Amino acid sequence: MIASGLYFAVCAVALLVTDRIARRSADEVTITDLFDRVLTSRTIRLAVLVCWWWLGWHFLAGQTVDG
Amino acid sequence: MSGEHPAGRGGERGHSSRDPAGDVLPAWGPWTWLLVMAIIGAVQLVRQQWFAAGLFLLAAVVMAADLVRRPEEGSHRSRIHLRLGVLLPVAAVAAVALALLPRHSGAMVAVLVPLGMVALVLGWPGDRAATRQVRWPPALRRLAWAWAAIWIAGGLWELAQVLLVNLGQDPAAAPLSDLLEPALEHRAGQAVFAVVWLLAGVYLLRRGRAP
Repeated sequence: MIASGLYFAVCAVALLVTDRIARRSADEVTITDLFDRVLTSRTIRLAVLVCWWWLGWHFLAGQTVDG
Repeated sequence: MSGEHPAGRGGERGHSSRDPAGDVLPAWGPWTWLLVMAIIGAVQLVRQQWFAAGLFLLAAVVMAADLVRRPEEGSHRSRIHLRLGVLLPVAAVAAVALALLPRHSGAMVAVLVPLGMVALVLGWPGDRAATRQVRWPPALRRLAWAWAAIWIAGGLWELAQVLLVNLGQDPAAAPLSDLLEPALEHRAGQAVFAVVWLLAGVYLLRRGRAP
């Protein structure tokens, strides 16, 4: 369990670090700009919203733990 | 190929021989997301979570149908962009409900389903053809690839953990659900999750305006 937690923590830190690096290379590069461009695609927007909603469903309404 | 910069933005540091305004979203981009949805649906089948499997697989079918349809077909209604002054109060009321209602209850379902429908209504409209004109500056493209790689790495780890649990191969395997469950069992943890989840939803619903 600790290994899995550490792995996810490293991924979260990596997201922040890449954001910082990108901002240093160009002032106008932001995560919001990234999401704005990605989510102009209706197909991708639907996928992201479905994933977002399912996370809420999974942790609040559905079965959470397997096994 | 047009060389104009997006209005109001400065140029990037450094020098590039490519169009500084950047390339457009590759045509295969949305198809990869469709593949992701299909994979998640398949994993939910392995977990015997039929509702989740149906949700993701249905979404994949809808996405595929939308992608193969010619751009000029269908309606071209503009997206509804609600102001924060509208979204935040709604999110606040929903947060109270999601924080106080018992998890896995019918009442919780009764709150979540309308929220999903609202998100779908706000997120679906839009001219699919217009997305082909969105430019990607090189620095933003690099950030996108980096984030994609990290999310894929996290997703593959999660997939491995889920399969190990479901196949009984490793008792130490811990998907994200197992890690968060202890916190969500407490009212405070449930409230924090509800707030973060709703704020993420507000953030996502306000994105997607072509620059």
